[in-house]
Amino acid sequence: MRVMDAVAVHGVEKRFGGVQALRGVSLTIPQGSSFGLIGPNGAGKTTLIKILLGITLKSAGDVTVLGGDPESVGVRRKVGYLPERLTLPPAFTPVQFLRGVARVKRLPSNLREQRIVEMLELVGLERTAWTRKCGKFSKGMKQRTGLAAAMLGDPALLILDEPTDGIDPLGRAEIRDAILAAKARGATIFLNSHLLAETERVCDHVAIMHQGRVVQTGGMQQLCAQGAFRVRFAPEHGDKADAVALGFAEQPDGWWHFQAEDAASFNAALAQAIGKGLVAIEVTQRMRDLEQVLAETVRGQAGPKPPAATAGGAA
Amino acid sequence: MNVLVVAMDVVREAFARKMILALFGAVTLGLLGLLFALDLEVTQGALAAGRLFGKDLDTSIIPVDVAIQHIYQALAYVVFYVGLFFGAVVSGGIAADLLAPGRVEFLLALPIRRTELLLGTYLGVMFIALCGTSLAVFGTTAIIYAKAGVVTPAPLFGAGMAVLSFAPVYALMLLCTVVVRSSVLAIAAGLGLYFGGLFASFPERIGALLEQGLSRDIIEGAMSLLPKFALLGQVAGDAALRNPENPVAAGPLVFGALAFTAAVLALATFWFTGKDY
Repeated sequence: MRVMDAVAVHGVEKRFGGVQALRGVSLTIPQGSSFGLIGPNGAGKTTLIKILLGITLKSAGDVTVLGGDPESVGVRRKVGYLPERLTLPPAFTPVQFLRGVARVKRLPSNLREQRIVEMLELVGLERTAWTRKCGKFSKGMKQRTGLAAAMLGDPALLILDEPTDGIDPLGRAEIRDAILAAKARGATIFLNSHLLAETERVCDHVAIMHQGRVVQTGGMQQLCAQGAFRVRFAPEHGDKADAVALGFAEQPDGWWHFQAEDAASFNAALAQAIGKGLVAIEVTQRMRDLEQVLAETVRGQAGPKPPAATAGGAA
Repeated sequence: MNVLVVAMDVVREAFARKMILALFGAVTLGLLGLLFALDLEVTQGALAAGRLFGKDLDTSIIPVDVAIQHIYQALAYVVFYVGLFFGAVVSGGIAADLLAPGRVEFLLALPIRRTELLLGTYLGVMFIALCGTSLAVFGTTAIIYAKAGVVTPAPLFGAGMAVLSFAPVYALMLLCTVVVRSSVLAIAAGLGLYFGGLFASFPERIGALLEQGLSRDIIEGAMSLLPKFALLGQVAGDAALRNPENPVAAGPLVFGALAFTAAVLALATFWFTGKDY
């Protein structure tokens, strides 16, 4: 059975005066997945996020969020959002701010305080949130408050725009754990972060945006795989010449590399090697990190190309 | 329902702001000053003597309810003119804060319609204006009742006119904030309407100062659209008097102010619902 899409975007365009910010963006994100949107500055990532939330109005195309119109109040009740640069009411404490959010999200009044405390504990603000005003907060503390607000009410879709920006490494780990906890309870995560290591750790699907287009999309494994596999053979078994004849290349570190389009081709070659008496004791796939994937993808985009199709493997 | 939720949040946030607290504190201090400084001697239903800050007021022996009319009239003018002016100055930042970058995106992503957010903000600020006016009017009325034993509903009418006159002022400030997101320009727009509305109350006198021609027609046309604040203020002051001289008909003035408010709010809503953030 096909999983329902949390987000479906088809041919979305956005013009700001004479500037074309989005040029026919199409992608789908299945419910329950964690999706990372990456790309250089000015690629259109934040514009796309704002269109998904109805904050910015699209010029053309179709957008469906959780099966409905992103401007629908019913849909928004199921969406949590943390903007890139959150401004909090300076005279409020986080608790006062979260109470207002809870009222607007229509959380049952008897559960509000309990849920607010839970969220504050989740983002590590339980000590300061009752007395300290948001106007005195550091950027990281504001982000934590915003994340607590976004996660209040257990939204089905959590859209986070640079959630760990300005947060120290230990804090980042806490925020990541909070996001993964939301994912574990079944929420769909939509993460836009310049910290690609965060995206790698949290997301299972990624789209790369460049110049207003989705230029690459797919599963994390699929995008980062280099088409090369590594195998270590037991030295006392078989003949190395057989491995070389099958296309395996010996490396100085004792590993053998095999170039293949996919895992099936590699498995076929490995089966032949084993048939000739070689014994494989360790097999891995050579992976690029997301930074390499982004750099190579953006460098490869010399001119305009048609928009990429749905999130590879995800749709 | 969401409109009320937004309005009450605007009120809560406003009362956490120093400027609003300062305004309410100033009104309260003024009332305390009046409480200790005003001394009225009432003998058999007549005002025998009056002292303000220990200085004798120039009063002849007149029935106390007649004498009190003039105090209430003065109160109505103070609440109307000073209240409108400081109301515009103090409330200028409220909507601008809500529409600040990083704040408005978060609010627009909440389960709330743009029209609800805008109208909730407007009603919240109007409620604050009502609270400030009520504090001044009820406080003064209570003090005068305590000193002279006389109470009339006239100040309530004056307060109502003041709040009603603030409605078009804040509507224009909200429109300005939606368009340019600047508290300074919003205050400038509010004060511009305040003074424009004072001049617009006397179109014949202003028109007489201008030469005949297109520019005079344009200015007179613009003045005809503005709320007539000086006349509304006169209505507020006259309400305190039993027999005012040259009373002004309140109906058309109130209708004009409300029509201006509705038109400006409709324009603000139209702009806000179609704007990208």
